[in-house]
Amino acid sequence: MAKLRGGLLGGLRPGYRLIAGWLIVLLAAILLPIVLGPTGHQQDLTDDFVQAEVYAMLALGLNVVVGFAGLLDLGYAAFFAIGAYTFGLLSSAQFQPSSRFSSPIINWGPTGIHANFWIFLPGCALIAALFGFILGAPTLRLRGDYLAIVTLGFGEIVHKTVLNLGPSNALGWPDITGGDNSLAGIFQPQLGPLQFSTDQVPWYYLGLIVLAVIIIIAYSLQNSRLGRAWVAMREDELAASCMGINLTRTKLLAFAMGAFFSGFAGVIQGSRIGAVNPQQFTFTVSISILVMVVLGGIGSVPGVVLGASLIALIQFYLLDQLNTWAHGNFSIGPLNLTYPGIVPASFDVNEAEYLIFGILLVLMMVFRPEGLIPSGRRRRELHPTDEGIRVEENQQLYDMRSEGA
Amino acid sequence: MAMAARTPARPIAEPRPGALLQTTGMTKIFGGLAAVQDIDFHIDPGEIVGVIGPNGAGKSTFFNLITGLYKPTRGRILVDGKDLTGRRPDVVLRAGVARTFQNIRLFQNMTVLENVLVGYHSRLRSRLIGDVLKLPRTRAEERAARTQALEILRFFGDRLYPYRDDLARNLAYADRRLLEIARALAARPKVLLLDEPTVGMNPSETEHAIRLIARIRDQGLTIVLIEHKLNVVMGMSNRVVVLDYGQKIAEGSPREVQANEQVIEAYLGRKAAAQAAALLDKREAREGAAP
Repeated sequence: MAKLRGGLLGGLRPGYRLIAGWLIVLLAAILLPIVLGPTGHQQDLTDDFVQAEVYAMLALGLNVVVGFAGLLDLGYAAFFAIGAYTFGLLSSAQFQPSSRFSSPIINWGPTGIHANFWIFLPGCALIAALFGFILGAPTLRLRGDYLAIVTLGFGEIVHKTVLNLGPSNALGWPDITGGDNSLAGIFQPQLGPLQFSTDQVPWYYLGLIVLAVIIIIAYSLQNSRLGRAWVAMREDELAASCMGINLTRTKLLAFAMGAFFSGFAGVIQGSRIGAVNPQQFTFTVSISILVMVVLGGIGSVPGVVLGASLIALIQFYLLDQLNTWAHGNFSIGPLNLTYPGIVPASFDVNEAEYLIFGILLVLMMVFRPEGLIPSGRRRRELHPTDEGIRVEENQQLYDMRSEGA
Repeated sequence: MAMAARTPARPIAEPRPGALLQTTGMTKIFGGLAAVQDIDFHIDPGEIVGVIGPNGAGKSTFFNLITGLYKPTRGRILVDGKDLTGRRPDVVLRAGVARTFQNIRLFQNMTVLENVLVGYHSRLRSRLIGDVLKLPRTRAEERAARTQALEILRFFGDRLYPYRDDLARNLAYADRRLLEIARALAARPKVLLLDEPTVGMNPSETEHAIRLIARIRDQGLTIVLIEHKLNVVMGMSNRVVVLDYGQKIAEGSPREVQANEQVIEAYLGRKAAAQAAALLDKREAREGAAP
């Protein structure tokens, strides 16, 4: 694959090669629903692809925190939840104010609150970013394992809060989040004559645009003053501070940018499904996003997008296929085989999802710890041998030079 | 180290007009032990001041106090007349004090050029919006920083510039020390604090480093130099401050300090100092007799 790309785009300068590579991916993504055609499967498949886009947004966000800034966050799903619930509460019949208010941005009345999707898509992302600031603040003094444990705690706090603020809660408050019953009936947007609803194709293209914007922002951040400060902080916090980097600001901006991306994912996911449930934001979701980042390549934008796509592919397609294969049906195209199942009939391979992720992660750590598409920095970090020889040479030349001096 | 409890409170020195960096009554107590005690220190523009002292004398602690890594128990830090006591390291840097570290603290997995660009951090004015949108101003600023960073690397001759795109950790040991200086210079400090810049270098590397530091001084930079190699400090300092057990035991020109009994004692121990004094007496007697 690398060879093919080298052959096709090898003549271009690295910067242009990157842009050309992304344009090819973008073109393929634009054509995808057209290629799939209006078959029976199309809706199903497109649904999976939108899900993959949402995963990619989340993975890119977590990549800012974990990959760029080196802050291990095990509760990242919290920001996804905040984006989804903020939009859900502002655009559903959950609250039914007795007063009436009407404006192009938001209107409310006894039938519910109706926020303008196009304004609140970035708006809720900004609110998620604000929570990134708020939840980041207490962790400023923490590093490594301690930071990971506190973020894990935050993830659980947000999950339990939305779960417990449902009907007949312990505080005796009115139902706020719908709790376990889901926050349902989230309004879906309209763009001119186009009504977003169960047809997934408009969602797919919306997701593609948002994802493209997020990818561009991620690249801009990586190659900026702030991006450099993140790497420096990851390398040596104390030295970074002595070189004029404000650690508080730099860390909080990492949390906020990460949360910002996941806010987009939350709004799209909530509005698309029309409901949000605490079950969508559990610890396993945080871990799955982390797996996408690690699998694709920590700190690598294309890697993380690939990682998210692969996890989506496994979750929504391969596991189902594996299940039918394991139960004795193999069919690809015209080929159709039946044989005795290799697992008990009652066993669903889908149940083994996390086992498979776990095995995948272990294999990655052993054979390719830098990820499928490693960032340049990680590759050099984890494979010093490529450069080692040159270093040794330099050292020897250097020694000779010093002796000569 | 001296017990802090036993030391009487001393009158605090007055701020010295014109001093670029000054500490008054600087004290740091770690669990009852004074690592640094009542140090009055100043450096005027254009000076090189050497800070010497035996191992554990509190030299690096003194630097850590100035740069905000430790908060002083007592005392004040003034940079260019501005009180920076207890401020964060990044604030101290922005006020014009940059440093290097005794145990090299480069950003190992960043390239040589990137390390210097991090040094530019405080001088770049782009913020989040500019970084994300790549505004023309941000781009121009980044280009300028890159050009200037390369210029700084060229200043170090063939030691850094040819390796600008290599990872910092792949540099030869002595060159890593030079890169730390380059990174600090990028911040355009008013005062440069060098913490044992030649430690671990062989004689020819040391000589090269000394020449570079002298060239930096010739460009008008004010330098505080911690050194173990006495020849380095004595050769290039205008003034030398001697620390022992966290206290300033002597201050003066290199010649004055070298002749100071307390200094010899601190370095060689009491018995050896007595022998040295006896030798000196003999020599003086001989010299006195000769003419």
